[in-house]
Amino acid sequence: MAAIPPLLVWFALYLYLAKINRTVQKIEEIQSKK
Amino acid sequence: MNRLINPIFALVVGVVTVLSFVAPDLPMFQRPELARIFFWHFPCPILATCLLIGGAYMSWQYLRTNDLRWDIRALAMQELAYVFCLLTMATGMIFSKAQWGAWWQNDPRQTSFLLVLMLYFAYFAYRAATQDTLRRASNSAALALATFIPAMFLIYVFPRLDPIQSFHPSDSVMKGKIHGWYAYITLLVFALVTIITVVMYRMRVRTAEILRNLEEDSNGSMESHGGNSAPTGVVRPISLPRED
Repeated sequence: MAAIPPLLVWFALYLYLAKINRTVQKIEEIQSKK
Repeated sequence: MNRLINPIFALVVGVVTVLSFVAPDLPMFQRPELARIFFWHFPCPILATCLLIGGAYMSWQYLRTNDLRWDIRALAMQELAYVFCLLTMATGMIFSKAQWGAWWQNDPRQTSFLLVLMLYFAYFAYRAATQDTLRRASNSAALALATFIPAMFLIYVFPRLDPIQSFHPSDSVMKGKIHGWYAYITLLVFALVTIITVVMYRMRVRTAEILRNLEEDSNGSMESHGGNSAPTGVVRPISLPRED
């Protein structure tokens, strides 16, 4: 059970990074249309 | 040198994570081997509080200046704060199970923190439901400011009031009960998570600003140039000269 908290913390931060990455993809899409 | 920073940082993250498992058990815990949950639980509410303070400050700055850059900064702060609030709740529930035998036991700390989560959920629900950029920015800034004081009360004051009986200790750090391995590793985890949070905050703000600028350029958005003017299609009343 002691392994769950570090996994949770890193996984949550990874998910937030993935959210930022989605914004980057959106930026690339808009730039490619120009 | 710059190319080396990321691998070195990843290595440090790995080493600190492993160190948190190598730390000795704490006999004062019900299950001494699970005391190391503390390393990951303790930094979360501290960071969440710092981010909520930052979010409230930036919301206030938005209301003062009406500059949408402050809205983007406030949103990034609030999002990260919510991530750490959720982590506080999740790691707290695991701690509760390990230490007191139940995932949820209606402890005043758990309940008051659940209320904080609900309060800030309203912030994101409001933002998701509002399309108008300026209205969303000003109303959500007001909401963030209005929510901040009750949230601080629920996190730091309510659980410490005299008639409130909580299992959750309030003075482990202040009374020096956390020392040696536990103090060092907690500080290391805290420092690493803080660095990653600051980097992600900057990335989130930067990408959101670029996206907003691009969308404004491609839409020829009214909001950036004439946010205070009425939308197209609204008929304004005008005064006509009297024909006497």
